[in-house]
Amino acid sequence: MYALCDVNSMYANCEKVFDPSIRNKPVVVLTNNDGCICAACGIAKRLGIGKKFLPYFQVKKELAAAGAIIRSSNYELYADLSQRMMDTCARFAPDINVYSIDECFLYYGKQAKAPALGWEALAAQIRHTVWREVRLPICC
Amino acid sequence: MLKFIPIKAVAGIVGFESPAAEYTQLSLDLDQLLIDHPSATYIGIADGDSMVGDGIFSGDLLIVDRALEIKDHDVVVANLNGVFVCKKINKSKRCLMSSGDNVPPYFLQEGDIFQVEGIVTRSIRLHRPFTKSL
Repeated sequence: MYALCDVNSMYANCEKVFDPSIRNKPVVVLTNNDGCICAACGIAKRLGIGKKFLPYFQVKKELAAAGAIIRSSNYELYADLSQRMMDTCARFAPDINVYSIDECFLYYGKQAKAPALGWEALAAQIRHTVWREVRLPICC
Repeated sequence: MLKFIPIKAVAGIVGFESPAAEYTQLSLDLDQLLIDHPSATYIGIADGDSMVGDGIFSGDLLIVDRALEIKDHDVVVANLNGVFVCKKINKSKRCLMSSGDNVPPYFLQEGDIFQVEGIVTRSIRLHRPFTKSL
């Protein structure tokens, strides 16, 4: 049995962890040198803005009109929060494979017995714990 | 009375193994001493004097633990309408209490954005300012 844990819009949501004033706003993160869009949070996606990899200069006005918060990439921040998220997920399985900055696989063995509370409830518990301890929303 | 944290030292005797060598402990690590949940702990700096009654002064370091269960009257850092605040929480009265002079409690209202970010487990006074920039 495997579990896949994946942070939703990792870069954009990392920006919200230490800045509560932008938690309820559309946030868009740009690539190195602010060239292109590389992440947009859920709120931005729902507004239909911040499409990935669009050059920033093309959509600058549109983003400003929607009141989007624009951030340059901050890799130290993402790496730190990634490590925290991985450490938290690792507590829930005997084996973990870190797949990328925002994804990991948890492995429970070939013929893993379902936990007492059931697999789905365990996944919910992982999501809940990562949100509580790291303040990142994940899918699991 | 000041209590010291015992750290055993190694005696530097050459040619003869110190009988104290076996008792050597690793040098003191403040992280280990102060932080119970490393992946869920954050450090903040207090701003303002509304919590002086709990010994938290402006400029103090706050060690904030997100992994702990909140209990009534815990000192917490919370997100209140988009701003981090440090207050004592009263769950039954749904209010945030300060401990400074003449600071009234804040009663949570409908429409408030409120979320406890973590519990302040330690606060550290900087008797001399930082020599390194943060």
